[in-house]
Amino acid sequence: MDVNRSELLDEPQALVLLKSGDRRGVEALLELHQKEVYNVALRMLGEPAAAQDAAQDALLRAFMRIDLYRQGEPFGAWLHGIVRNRCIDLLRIRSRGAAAYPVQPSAVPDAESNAIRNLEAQGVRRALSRLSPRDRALLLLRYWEDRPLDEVAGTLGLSQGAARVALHRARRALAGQLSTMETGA
Amino acid sequence: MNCSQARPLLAAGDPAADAHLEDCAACGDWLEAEDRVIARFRAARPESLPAPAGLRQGVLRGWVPARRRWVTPTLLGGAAAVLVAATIFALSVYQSALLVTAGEYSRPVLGGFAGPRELLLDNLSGLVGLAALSLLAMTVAGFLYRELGRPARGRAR
Repeated sequence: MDVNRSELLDEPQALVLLKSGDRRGVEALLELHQKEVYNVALRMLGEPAAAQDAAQDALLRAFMRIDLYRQGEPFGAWLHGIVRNRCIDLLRIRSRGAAAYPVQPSAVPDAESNAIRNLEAQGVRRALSRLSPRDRALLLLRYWEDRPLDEVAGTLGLSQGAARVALHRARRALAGQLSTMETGA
Repeated sequence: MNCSQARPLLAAGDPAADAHLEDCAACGDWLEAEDRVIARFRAARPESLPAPAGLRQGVLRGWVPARRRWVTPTLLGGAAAVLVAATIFALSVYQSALLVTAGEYSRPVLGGFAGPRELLLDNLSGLVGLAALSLLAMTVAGFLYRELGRPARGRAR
């Protein structure tokens, strides 16, 4: 079997190649990071096509501005920061309710517990899609992307205190949406 | 307001305690530990999906090596500089009747027409200045192209 040489490269080697303008560096870094970058975008934007565009944009920005990457910093974290910022920009200009968060691929219709769990998850995602873009971004960054509060605050241009309050309100808004949906159902 | 006064208000969603929450990290942590909606929200996090094939293709199509990004603006700037220099040289060597005529007609108005020869060939510092300006323009064009140029979009449809 023909093995692509880029698949054998580790991250530091790939970064050296990328910096020297070698395409194999890009291929190897894509191999290592494209799935996670795409899934960050998918979780934040909720739409596969928009996630693909955002991920592609972020990856290209990162690869073409690799001179801004500081040696020693985890490359994956740097890359994820770029894609998260891109998604936040997109969420800011988006209208409310635009996202339709993807159904989990592991859905097994004949397993009752899975079905119940999926229904619950879909309800939460539907409630999330009804929140304002800022509330959505706060919840996504903090609880789906597990970012620390100071980073969430920095990404959204808030002080830590303001982010704490905004997060509290976003949780209340989510709980309110869930309650409305459950009452209406 | 202290924490024990603020927490019942925070749990009830009363905005009267927001000012306390803004300054109190401990109450923020307490709220996150208490709020059941967080666990529900975390459980709804979608599982990872494979990246679409078009993503890889789009990135590979749009990526341009850093060195090659300088080629286009440098070639364009260089070509423009050569064209300008060649034009000035040609005009100065073969001053056309048109320029001479234009100089004579403009004399009463402009006080005389200084042709390119007078401006440049007889004035070495003028030529050096033109070359320096051309180089500067090329450098600025390249810098702007690099700084402001957005990556090409090449997503496969």
